[in-house]
Amino acid sequence: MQNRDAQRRVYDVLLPYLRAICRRYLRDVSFEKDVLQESFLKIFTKIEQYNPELASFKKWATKITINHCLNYNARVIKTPHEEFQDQHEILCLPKVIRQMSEDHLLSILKQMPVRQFEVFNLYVIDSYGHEEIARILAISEDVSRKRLSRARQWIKKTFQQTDSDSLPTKII
Amino acid sequence: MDYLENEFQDKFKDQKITSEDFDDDGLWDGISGNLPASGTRLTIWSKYGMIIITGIFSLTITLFLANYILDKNRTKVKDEVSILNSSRSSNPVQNDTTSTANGSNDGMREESSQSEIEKREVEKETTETREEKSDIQKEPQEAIQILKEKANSSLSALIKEGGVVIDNTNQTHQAESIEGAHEMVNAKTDTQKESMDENPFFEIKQEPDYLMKEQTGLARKHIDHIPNLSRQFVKLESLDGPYPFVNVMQISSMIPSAKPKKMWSLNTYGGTNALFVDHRSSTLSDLVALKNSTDHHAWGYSVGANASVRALNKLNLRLGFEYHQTWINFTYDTKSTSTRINENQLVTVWVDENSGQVIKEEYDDVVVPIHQTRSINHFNKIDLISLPIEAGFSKSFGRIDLGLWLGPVLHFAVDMNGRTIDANGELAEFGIGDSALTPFRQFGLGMRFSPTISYALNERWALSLLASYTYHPSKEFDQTDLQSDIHQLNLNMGIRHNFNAKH
Repeated sequence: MQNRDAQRRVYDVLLPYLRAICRRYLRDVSFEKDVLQESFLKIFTKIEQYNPELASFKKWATKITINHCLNYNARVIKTPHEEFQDQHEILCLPKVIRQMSEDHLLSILKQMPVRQFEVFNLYVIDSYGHEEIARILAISEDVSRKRLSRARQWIKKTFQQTDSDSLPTKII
Repeated sequence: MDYLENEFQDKFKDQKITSEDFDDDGLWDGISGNLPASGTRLTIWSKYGMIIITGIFSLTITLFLANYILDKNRTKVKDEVSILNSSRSSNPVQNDTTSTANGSNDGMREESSQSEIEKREVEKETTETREEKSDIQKEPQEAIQILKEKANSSLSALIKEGGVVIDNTNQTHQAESIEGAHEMVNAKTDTQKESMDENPFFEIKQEPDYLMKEQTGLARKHIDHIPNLSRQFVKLESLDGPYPFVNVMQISSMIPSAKPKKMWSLNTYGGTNALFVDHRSSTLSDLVALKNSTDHHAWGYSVGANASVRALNKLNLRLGFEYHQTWINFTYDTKSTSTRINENQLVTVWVDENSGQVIKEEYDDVVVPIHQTRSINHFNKIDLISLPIEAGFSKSFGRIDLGLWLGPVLHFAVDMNGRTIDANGELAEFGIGDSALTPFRQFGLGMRFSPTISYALNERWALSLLASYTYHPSKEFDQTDLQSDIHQLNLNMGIRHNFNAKH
């Protein structure tokens, strides 16, 4: 597909979805534009590789974007300069999760260890199986399952901690 | 747990973000700027690349096969000449001719008649061989014709002086009189002419060592086919007679092929390259320091071919065509601080100092600062096509040939994209159309110095190692006085084919 207008239309349709993917997967959202640009370039230049029998176009584009996000995450983790200094105690009431904004909820989820959060994202939200996750992350299925299990423990600990209404007594 | 995960799915599955502050158009410009312009640009370049590579490969194979076939033919012809010589040495008629070639005018006439007999014998033997060698005879025949004319004029001059005449046994005889000598010379010359006309390979003998020293390999090829007349002149050099009227150098000058020919060669090569960028400015020292810290060299690759010709004795000229895929490693760290609101955070606790009991707790939304360092490591891609026009000197040491080349280089940038720091010190992206930010002009003229070394595998093929330093002149940056000099280093390996221009 080389028609600019057609490409622009596809871009307009996909952009909101792919932006959400970037926000959710990227550890450093300042890379969002970089990832989106590279993802769209790949989508448009490799479009002949898309097979409609295997997946919808949106899912195919999503997968490309997820891969780019994971690559950027790998770089961020390896970069010694990259330090998030906003580590703080997580306090959240599960009763109000439904009222919480996506950004806020995501900011809490992103404090999960990055490897576990990647598996959690892929498995729980994007409905990939362990086999597919193992292929995407270049890990074994067992490792994928372990990471998911730990992610669930982290969520349980974080979100059910306040079920008992045991409020912390220390000053942050 | 399930209800939590369901909550997450509901919130994030098929989530769309359509905030107003996002620069959709800016991102689209970045994407569309990097997409192939017409959709066929990449395809065309890849096609041209394939055609060029295929052409070079085909040319190399063709030259190699042609060279191989020529070598085979040359060997075959030489073998046939050897066979012919051996059969001639067992021919009694020829032996008689040689043994009775001395003496009086009668003897010379007898020799002449015997030469005719010999001619017929030889003709019978060489008819087939001559047909096969017709191509090879073309060039020697020209040499023979010159030799005949030279010989006649030299002999005429000799006769006038009462000079010296040589026969086939390399003996000298003082002519009794001018008339007698003239008759003798005519008889001898006629015999030789007939022999030459009928069979250019007649009386081919082993070359004397002193001749080998004086002749180039190219001349030797023709010497192989020069008949006995020229041999005799050559042999004069070894005699101690009073009138050595032709020497080896004169013989060499008579043979057209002994002159140095223009040597042509075609060289194909490939290797690695590196770009070094040096920024300078008289007023923007901070920007210079920043840009020098962000632009680092990176390795790329180059492929190319050149044709060279030996114009003078050691002076060579060459013209090349090269493709360079070069990179500049752009590294830049940005530090930013942002804030985020954490809701319902415990912010204050009142504690009774006496009892230590908590009196009151206060919860509120808390603004949390986020400090981030963003490290950007981007490889700026620059594709160049270069046309070097160089002059150089070369010197051979056996099989090894050393050369030094210098000359201008025309370059055309076919693709440039990447990131840089603009004049305001901010991160900016550039494409080939953003001439203010690109490190190269789209068209420019540089200067190249290139030492080369090659190792000859045989007369026609050689392996070569080519190093080069190319200076690309400075270019103004983003409408400032900041100048960017680019130094390009190349190290290539290749194969060279030598061939001679046809006269």
